[in-house]
Amino acid sequence: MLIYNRSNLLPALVSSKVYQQLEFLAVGSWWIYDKTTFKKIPSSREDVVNDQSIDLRAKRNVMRFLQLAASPESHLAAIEEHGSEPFPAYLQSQFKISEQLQVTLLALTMSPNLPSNTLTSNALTNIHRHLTSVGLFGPGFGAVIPKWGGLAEVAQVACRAGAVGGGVYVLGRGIENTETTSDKEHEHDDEDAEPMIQIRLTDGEKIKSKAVGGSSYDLPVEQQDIAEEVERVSRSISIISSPLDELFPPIAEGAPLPAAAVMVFPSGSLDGGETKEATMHAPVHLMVHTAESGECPAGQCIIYGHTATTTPSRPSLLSFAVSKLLESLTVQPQAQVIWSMQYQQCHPPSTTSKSPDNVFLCQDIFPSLVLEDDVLRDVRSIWESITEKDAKPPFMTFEDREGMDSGEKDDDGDEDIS
Amino acid sequence: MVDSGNASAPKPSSSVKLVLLGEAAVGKSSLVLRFVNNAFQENKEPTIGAAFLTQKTALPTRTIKFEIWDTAGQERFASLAPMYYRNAQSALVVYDLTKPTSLIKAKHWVAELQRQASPGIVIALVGNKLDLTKGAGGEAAALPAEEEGVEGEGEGEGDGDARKITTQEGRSYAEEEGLLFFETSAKSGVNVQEVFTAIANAIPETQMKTSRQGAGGGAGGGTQAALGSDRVNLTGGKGEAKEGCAC
Repeated sequence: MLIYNRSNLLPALVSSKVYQQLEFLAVGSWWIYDKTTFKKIPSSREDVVNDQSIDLRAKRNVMRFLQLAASPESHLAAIEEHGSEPFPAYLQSQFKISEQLQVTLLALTMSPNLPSNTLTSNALTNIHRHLTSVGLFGPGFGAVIPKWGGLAEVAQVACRAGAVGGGVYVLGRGIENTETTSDKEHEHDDEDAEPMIQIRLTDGEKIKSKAVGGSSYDLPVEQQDIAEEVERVSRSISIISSPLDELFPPIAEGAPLPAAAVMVFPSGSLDGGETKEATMHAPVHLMVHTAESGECPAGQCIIYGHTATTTPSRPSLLSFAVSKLLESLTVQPQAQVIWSMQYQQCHPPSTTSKSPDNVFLCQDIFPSLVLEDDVLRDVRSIWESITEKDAKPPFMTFEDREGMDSGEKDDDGDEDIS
Repeated sequence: MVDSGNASAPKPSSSVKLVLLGEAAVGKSSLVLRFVNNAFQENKEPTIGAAFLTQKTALPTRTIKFEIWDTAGQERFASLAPMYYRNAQSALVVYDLTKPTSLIKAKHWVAELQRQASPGIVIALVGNKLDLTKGAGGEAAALPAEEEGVEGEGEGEGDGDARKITTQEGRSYAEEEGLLFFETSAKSGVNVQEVFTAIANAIPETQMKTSRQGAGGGAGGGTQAALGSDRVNLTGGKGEAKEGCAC
């Protein structure tokens, strides 16, 4: 998963000081598949101006669009007016942007959906984020990945910071059930009996807490019959025998070395340009990480495939995309897939199931390619609910933990992050 | 030196991240328990995942706060180890003097640390369970010279000498690899404090994360030494300017 530089997560990592334990690497180029080869997508307006392959009139139209998309006000106004239209239709009607360039702009949205299902509201929001992220932490790149294996690393660091702050975290035990105790446990009551939640862990141990937070995987939630509405994503991981250096040209002068490349196969492109939406495959994204990511040995690279599963499903689509990528490269001898795996991820539609007071349910995260801001927004609203009665500490703002003069334990109010 | 020229602080205090590694049941948690609580527990249960403890050590010129990550030795947790030794300034690699395979495992850990941990990490090789060896104090010479003889209680059944790895073997390996070396007993307490003190002394002052009173600006900057040029600096550039984002 990549994190745009504009993501709300990054400032929170800085203010909470946990960024000191993390390493981020730059995402380099976006590439788009066209017939048999990949073309690098211009990543900034400057790049568009310099792109010889776009004719002058088309360039002007694209520039007009990019200007609107980069503007904080205009892009919102456009969303207001055209948000519910399919994005390609919007580009056509408002900017006379040709189908071929539409495909390129669609690639920048990172949308997993077919073009007609990609709404202008989402597309403009995402392209705005893409454009305004570039340059934020150095020239030429707009997104980062956490080193050493992705976002799990962030959760780990958060748990570690929690432990350093005096929190306890326990592995291998889940929550069996929760029960809000009101009056019955008055024997050893505290000052004013705030309602406490009694939690029974899977090993039988009982603990009490003022609040409980977690996802539907952590908390006992009533299951509803939702099977058909589940969205599915196919994913693959492939380790490649070559570092595929040609996918990682230097980003810009003074920029860090790129550690990831985004390869986009537009809808239908793997079928030689199938155009009937009913039979078209959804966009396929391959994220290629260098060995610098810490995810594969030096001299190799690792490819993460992702595509929304359409019906009828095509289990071999991702491995086909990987082979097309390897064929398109000039590296000799041709790079080989050393090892690969595939799996499907399901995403239940968000539920509004009511949970008891002070039991907070995080929304399930859609298994997408990009870390979305609503993840942290969700955490923040839970944070605010829990800290409401107290002094309202600013969200995710902690002192440097090196300071040891201010008493042994500073209660960070850490939540369980799982 | 670094920053933090804080005049009011009488003795600078720094925190040091330390990780314990080693085969299962060599006594990692027991060493920590001895160091932190000066206690010992027979038949301690295996660690799950990892445990975290802190302990301060006063040196003549500064105070060190150890942030200790005690990892699980069982093989099924081995894949977790990297996230504990990453960014660690020091590591204690423990083996059991009475169990040859545990030294082999310790050597693997040392190699992994040298390959993957922060460059400049201070590694101490520790042979534990000295109390099970004969004449525990006599032969057991540890790096900091003299050794007050310890009554090895002989709890190791049959009283005999259960030692399988000579002091010489451990020490010469440690010397080859440039490690600190100690033989300890978490049970009797021999050399436990010494290990941590030696580590504290071996960490160059420039590597310390000195406490910054001011917090505020907190441009973390140079704390993580020797970073590649490929690492993105989140506090650099015009980053933080817009705080809060769309949140």
